[in-house]
Amino acid sequence: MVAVVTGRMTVFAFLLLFLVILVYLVIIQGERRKKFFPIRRLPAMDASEEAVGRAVEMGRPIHYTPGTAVLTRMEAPQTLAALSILGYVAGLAARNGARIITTCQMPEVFPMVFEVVREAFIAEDKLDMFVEEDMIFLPQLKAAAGLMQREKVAANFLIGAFWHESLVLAEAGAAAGAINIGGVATMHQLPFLVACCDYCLIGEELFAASAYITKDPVMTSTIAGQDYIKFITLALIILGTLLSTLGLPQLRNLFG
Amino acid sequence: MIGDEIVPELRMRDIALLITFTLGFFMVFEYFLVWPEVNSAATNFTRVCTALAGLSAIVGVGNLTRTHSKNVIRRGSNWIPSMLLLISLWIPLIIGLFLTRKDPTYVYLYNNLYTPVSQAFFALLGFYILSGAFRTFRAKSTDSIFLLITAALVFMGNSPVTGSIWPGFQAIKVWIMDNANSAGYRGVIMGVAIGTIVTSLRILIGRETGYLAERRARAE
Repeated sequence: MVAVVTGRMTVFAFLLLFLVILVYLVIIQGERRKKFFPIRRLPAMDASEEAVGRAVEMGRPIHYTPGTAVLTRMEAPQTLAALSILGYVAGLAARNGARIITTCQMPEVFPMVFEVVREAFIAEDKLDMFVEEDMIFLPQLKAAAGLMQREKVAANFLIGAFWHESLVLAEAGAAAGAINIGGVATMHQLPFLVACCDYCLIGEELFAASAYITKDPVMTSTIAGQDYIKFITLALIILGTLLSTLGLPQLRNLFG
Repeated sequence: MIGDEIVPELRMRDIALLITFTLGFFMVFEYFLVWPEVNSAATNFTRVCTALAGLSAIVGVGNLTRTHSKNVIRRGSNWIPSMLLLISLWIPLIIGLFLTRKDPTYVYLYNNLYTPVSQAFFALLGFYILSGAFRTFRAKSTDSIFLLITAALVFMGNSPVTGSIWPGFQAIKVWIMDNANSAGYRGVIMGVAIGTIVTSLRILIGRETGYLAERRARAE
């Protein structure tokens, strides 16, 4: 006998609704009509080019880490979003002739990091500049603090999900004289990166960054979908609050 | 061949996307359904994934060993720390593998080497918070002045000494945390939650493929 788990019916229905909105926007608006939804400026992404340029001028390397979330955790989308941004930063580094050092703590993500950077160098016809030894696996990401000091990095990208090491790495980058560009959606680390980084992707900006970089209609349509879903959620919160205030808790009870 | 006409080019990328789509949606729907066979299959699948993730540690250990062995052989820069790293990586690993983690030698190394070094590094956080605070809390602009004042008030509200001087600091801190902070926090967390859901769906339907190391066209 197949049934929906008690108490999860409403969430299931809303997930399906979100999926329908997203698929509609991707197929109809993005792929068929090629409609481009503008995305507001993300200073952290605009500053990436400046940071890479600075590294080239100073003759120093760039450091990039995609955080510490493994792919079996709920923070995995942050890691995957960080890998998309890594492709962009590695492409910039390859184009401008900068050395990029990547550090990764998660063994299952490490091969992906390696391939993303390698493919970015191939796309720029700069495979000869790709250094395998600069793709570094670190069982404890905190060790990248020492690496940054030794290599005197000029730009430090901390993008992905972090825990306590975010502050260590941001401060180590600042001590090495690097421009710090952060990006995190784990709430407990957000204040640290916002405080210690020169530019920071805050919360959902991390997920919108890949669409912002590519400016692809399909990708931007998914960000528009995200906004529509946000409007629906906000409307439900306001409606639920009003109804509960009036003594009608049915809507609130639907969500457990 | 007929197969080639139907599927002209099934690339590795397409296979990866197909696996992501099928298994991803299977795991999502399994969460909502009471279906013993499917639930059992999902549990087993999760175990396989965990085992695979564990095995991938070999890739990491291999990379560390290769990188640092090269440095030691070449007598490159910092070759002594590289050698120390190899020793501290392989000796506990071999002892743990052959004599188990309960062996007294392994326990000794863990308690007297790993734990103190780890704790010392964790303790550095205190200094990093201080240096971060010095850099951040400077009255450079209107925004930073607000940040500085708010941080100072919360700091004084949390400190027992200032609480004994004037109890009002405690009330101000509670108001800031319960109203201003909560309002901002909830707004961001809602955006993050929806962003996580939409990014996950985008990955499952194959529209977020940056992690697949696709060769991007050179940007103009």
